[in-house]
Amino acid sequence: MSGGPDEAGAAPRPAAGDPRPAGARRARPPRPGLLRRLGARARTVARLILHFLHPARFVLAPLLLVLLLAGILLWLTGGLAYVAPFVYTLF
Amino acid sequence: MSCVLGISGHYHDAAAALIVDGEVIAAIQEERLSRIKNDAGLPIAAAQACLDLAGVAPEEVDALAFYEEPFAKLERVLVHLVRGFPRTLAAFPRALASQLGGKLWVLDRLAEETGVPRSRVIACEHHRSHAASAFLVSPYDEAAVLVVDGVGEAHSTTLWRGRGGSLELLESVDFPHSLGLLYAGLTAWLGFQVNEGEYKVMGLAAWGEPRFRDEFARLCRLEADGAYTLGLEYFAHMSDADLGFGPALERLLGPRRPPGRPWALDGADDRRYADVAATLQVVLEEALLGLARRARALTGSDHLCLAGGVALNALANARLARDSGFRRIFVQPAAGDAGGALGAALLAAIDRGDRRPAPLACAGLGPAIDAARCHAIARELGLPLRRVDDPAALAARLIADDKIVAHARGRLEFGPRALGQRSILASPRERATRERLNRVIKEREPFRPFAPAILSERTGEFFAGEADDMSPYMTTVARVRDDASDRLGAVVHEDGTARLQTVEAARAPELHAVLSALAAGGADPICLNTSLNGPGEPIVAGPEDALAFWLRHGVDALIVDDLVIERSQG
Repeated sequence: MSGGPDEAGAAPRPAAGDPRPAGARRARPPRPGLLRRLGARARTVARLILHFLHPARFVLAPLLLVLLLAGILLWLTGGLAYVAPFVYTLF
Repeated sequence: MSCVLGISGHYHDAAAALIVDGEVIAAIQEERLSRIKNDAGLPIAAAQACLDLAGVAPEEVDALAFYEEPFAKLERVLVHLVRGFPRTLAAFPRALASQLGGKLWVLDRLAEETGVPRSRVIACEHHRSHAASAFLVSPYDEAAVLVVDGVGEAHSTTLWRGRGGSLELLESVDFPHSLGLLYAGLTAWLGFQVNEGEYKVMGLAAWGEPRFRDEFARLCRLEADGAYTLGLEYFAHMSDADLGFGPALERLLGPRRPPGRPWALDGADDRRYADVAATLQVVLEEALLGLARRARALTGSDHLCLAGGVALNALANARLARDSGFRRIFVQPAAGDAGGALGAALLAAIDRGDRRPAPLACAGLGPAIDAARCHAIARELGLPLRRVDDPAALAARLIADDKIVAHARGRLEFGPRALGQRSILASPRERATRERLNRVIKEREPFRPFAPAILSERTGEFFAGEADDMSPYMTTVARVRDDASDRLGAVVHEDGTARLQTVEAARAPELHAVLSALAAGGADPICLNTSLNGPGEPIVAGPEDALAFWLRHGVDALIVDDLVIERSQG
């Protein structure tokens, strides 16, 4: 065993092991633009409607409709705080 | 090159896993990086860390697989809101906010946040992801696979046949009947936090007697073919995601235990709660035994793989190993939802034509600790850091001297168990060590046990039985031999068992070196091993976390790679 309280000013050794240690991270990729994100959401809504078009799921259509309308309301108002009284009054 | 990223998240314990050319390269839980315990968000930092470890750019990822199908889950939520009307009325706004606020758009968000093109983002079924996470990295060519958790899209329990790289669903039990939610409801009734306190219930069980069998027969009815049904009137998970149990449960078992009240197991009141925990444990074990026997009858296999949060119940796993008839059982270290990320990645990789990966050799799938950065920060803080040539020998000497050592070396473990890379290590001899750890350092309930880690080849000297496929990952328990229990006062639980970790050089090289050094010095090759974290904190990941732990908690020494800080005496 060797060494003493960090007096030697020894150059720090690289981290042991093959995998790179946390810290050596590249920058996060830039987020896509608004139009692109809206396009992706629209495609998701289309897939969702297709999913619920199955005959066995028709019974859920009214709930889904309410869900989507509430979603639009949420998006327009920018948060649940404004919509909550409406939702609670409705139900 | 084929590169597949798996993601679990948006409920609890978010994680990411990376498969490159059919090999598991990395798997990391988001909580370790975000420092939010059981982080329920999306594991964007973990995904990025996985890609960084492999040196892969997001646009090079061939597929990103999410561990759950969002539309199928929404469908289940809507169906149960309708079925439970009007009881579910109050839950509707919350379910709505949760679905619209994120869960519905999860695949879009994953593409946006990770930089992986949206066309490559897919969803896998929740229970299939769990089954894959266990079977596809197991050492078996064929096996029965049993997945038991709270709930996925609709299933809460599934039986599978695994063969080669394929999984075939054989039978299922669907929500609202769920062993995971039975356990969660009782966890809440006992005053613990759901998705966090389940280990405490398991530890508490050893202190009680299972004398509430009649009451539990109403809570959970077990069928001869392994199926089960819950007495739904006692539970509230269909209408109240927070509490999990209803007033009927309090009428049946008595009032819930107030959360946070100090435990006094010598008093009748807390003894009663311990008896309920003990009964829950026995009922769970019998339910799992029924399911395992059913799985064996359906598959004829000698091998069983377990996954889902319930598979982290080490006591039940040991019972299955003893009584289910399977010759070998495997539970991977991240059997809970974090493991779903690994399973989803494996399913997508095999779908793309990759080979099945080699059996899991090691739980150290995260980033290595950065000693250079630790050195720089410690210098900045003026901490008395020194470098040693043989940190394992130093750790062994400190442990032999009854010191408590924070040990951060090698790659971060995947899963809830610290397996030597981010561990607190101590001598297993004295019960006082357990008291000091429980009360001063970990600040947790006094009834909770600590686990021993032992050199694999010496297991039989201290425990009844030998190392098996679960013991390297601390997912089972073993009975301590009578002639060894005096030497293991800090790690023997009230029922005479211990949740042991058998250590091999290939699986946990740093801890193996410490135990070997203990043996070379004439001591028993065994130490207490508990996770390197304080109360309510995720396990330490990087050097900042390790140094913060050192500054906050009263351990005697911190070892980060080959750097050491020791607390001065007096």
